[in-house]
Amino acid sequence: MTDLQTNEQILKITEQTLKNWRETSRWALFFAVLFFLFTGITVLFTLMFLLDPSMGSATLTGIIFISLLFLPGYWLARFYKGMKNALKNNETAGLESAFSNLKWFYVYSGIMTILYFSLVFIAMITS
Amino acid sequence: MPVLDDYEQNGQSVVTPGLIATWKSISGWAIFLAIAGLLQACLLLAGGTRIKEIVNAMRFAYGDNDLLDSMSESETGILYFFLLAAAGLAFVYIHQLLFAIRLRRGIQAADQRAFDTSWRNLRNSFRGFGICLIVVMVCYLIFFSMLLLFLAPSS
Repeated sequence: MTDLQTNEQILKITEQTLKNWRETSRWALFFAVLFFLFTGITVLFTLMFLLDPSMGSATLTGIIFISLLFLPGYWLARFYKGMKNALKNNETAGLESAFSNLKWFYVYSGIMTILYFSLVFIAMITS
Repeated sequence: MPVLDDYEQNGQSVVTPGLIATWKSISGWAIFLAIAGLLQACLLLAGGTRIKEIVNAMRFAYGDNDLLDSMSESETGILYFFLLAAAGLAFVYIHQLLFAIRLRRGIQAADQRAFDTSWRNLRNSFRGFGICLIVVMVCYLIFFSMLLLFLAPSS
């Protein structure tokens, strides 16, 4: 038996932890709604740019922003839904799915942060 | 389908290997994001305390204008805003860092207390960020309402 297996048998999911997960998932839903709201606004602006052929680069930027804003909102909303179902039906599979979505949100945020700092660094060197 | 009850020991649920693997990944990224966030908070703090020098540098680069004049007049207000923003960011990312560290310790050392506290830290981090967002949105709403009120008589 590995240490990992030993630890997973020792660690328990307490009632307080379940309460914290429930509240965290509700805040995640709030963030997801905001992400979707900004995605919707960006879609509207991109559609307006699409009508004007001279705004080609703005349209492309709009499409990039739509995908950048939609994905984190999608993962956070899935985290909320997965957590809600897992807590309601007492499902471990639902819990694993919920945390998997939270993991993707963290991976995405991390990559975006690396990109942001890289761009700032490049801007500092070139200026 | 496995249910939480299948893993129950003495009436309490225990975690699965899949969950442990996911949490390890989350904690790694959370540490990175927390450090980056705290760095941003430090930069905000540095910017806020040196606002006078920044305004002077901008005045030297762009010359006198109304925007820089109004910035000079409201230096104290800008300083408080920067301090408040830095404090908000620091609260969120300190809890994020504590979440990641405690979750790692909880998994590696089978520390139940650290494991339980880590989720409270994650909740506090999400709650803090949510409250900060609400405050920012309310400020924007007030700012745009005032802007509309000022513009309305002139149009």
